[in-house]
Parts: sequence; C-alpha cells; structure tokens
Amino acid sequence: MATLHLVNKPAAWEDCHPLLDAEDAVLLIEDGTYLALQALSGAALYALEPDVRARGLSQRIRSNIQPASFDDFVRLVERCERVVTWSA
Amino acid sequence: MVISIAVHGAPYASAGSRTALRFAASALGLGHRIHRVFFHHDGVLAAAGQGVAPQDEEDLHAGWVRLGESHGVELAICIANALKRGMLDEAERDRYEKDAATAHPAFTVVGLGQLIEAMTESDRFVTFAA
Repeated sequence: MATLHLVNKPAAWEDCHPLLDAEDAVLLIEDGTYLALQALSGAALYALEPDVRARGLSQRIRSNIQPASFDDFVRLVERCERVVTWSA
Repeated sequence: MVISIAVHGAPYASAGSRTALRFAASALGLGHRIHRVFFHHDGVLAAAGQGVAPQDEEDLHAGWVRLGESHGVELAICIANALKRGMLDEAERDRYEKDAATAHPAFTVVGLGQLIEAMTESDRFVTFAA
C-alpha cells in the first residue's frame, strides 16, 4: 500500500476521494466514521472501531468497511509509506 | 519504526488530542519509538499545567505528561502558537515578565525547525487534525 489517508470529518471525503489510488488505504476516524454509513469506494476502507462504537454505528457500517482497532491503526501506518491527513 | 506525531486540535474541543494519545500508546505497545509529539495551533493547550479535569472525565493533559515522562517522548509545543495562547515555560515567562509559567515542564517550547526535524528523522509522520 502506498498512502494511508486519515479522514476525521465527513466533508473531507470529497477532497480525499479524487486522489485515492487503488492500493491506498483510508481510515475513517472521529466524526469521519459517519461516512461508514455511505457507499464509499476507491481504496481499502477502514473505520476506527472505538469511534464507530462511540457514535452508535456498529450495526450500520457498510460491509466493505473493516473495523480497525488502535493497534490496527498503527499497523496501517507501518504498511503504508506515508500518511496524509484530510480535514474539512 | 520511528514515528512522530502532530496534534492540531485543543484537548476537549477537538477529538484529535485524545485520538493522538491513544495512537501513541498503541504504537509504543507495539514496539515503535515516538520521537516527538509536535503540538501546533490550539493543540498547544494540552500543555496547560494548571488545568483540573473533572473526576469523571479523562485528563488529557495528565495523559500526555505520563506518556512523555514514562516513555521518554519529547512533547514539543510550537512557540508562536503557544505564546499567543498564554502557554509559557519558565524561560518565556522570564523573557516576557509574566506572572507565571503556564506550560507544564514536561513540554518544551520549540520553533518550526523541530517540526521539520521530526519529519526528516522519523519513518512515519502522523498528523491529527483539529
């Protein structure tokens, strides 16, 4: 994987999405996890599980979005060459 | 792997300071080294040494101090952002003849050069937005 994209607000997706490469990963964090209710594509998609749970979204996230723990977050940072943070 | 972190949001007002603290703890637990946490913009308020968190809320300031002291992580606050928000260490308190040093001594007041150094000296640089 090349780049890990961190998205912490729903509005940031519009900026991030056109620049995704197929081998990239996107991690939805904080209020960005509300995006997990929508049909997203363009990269491997993850949502930070404690933030998903805190917002009551656990039963509602789309099946193509994988829950990620903080340890998984660290492993994504390891696997990707760089991390880009998007914020609206 | 050597990781550095930037925190842009104020504790409590933004989720970023809390997310960054959790991320740092996991990274250390997985055997990585955190070279520097660079607090930028409102993020510098994490250094506020006189804050008192309610008993039923997480004390983010204390969490950062613990991380710094127990793991040797450098906690760096941006000087330009810190001074205008009243975050002064002893040296800046003396320089500007203010009444008190407001930043906890676990935090160091630094320039932007330390942000660039953190980027070049680390394998990964992770920014937590406001």
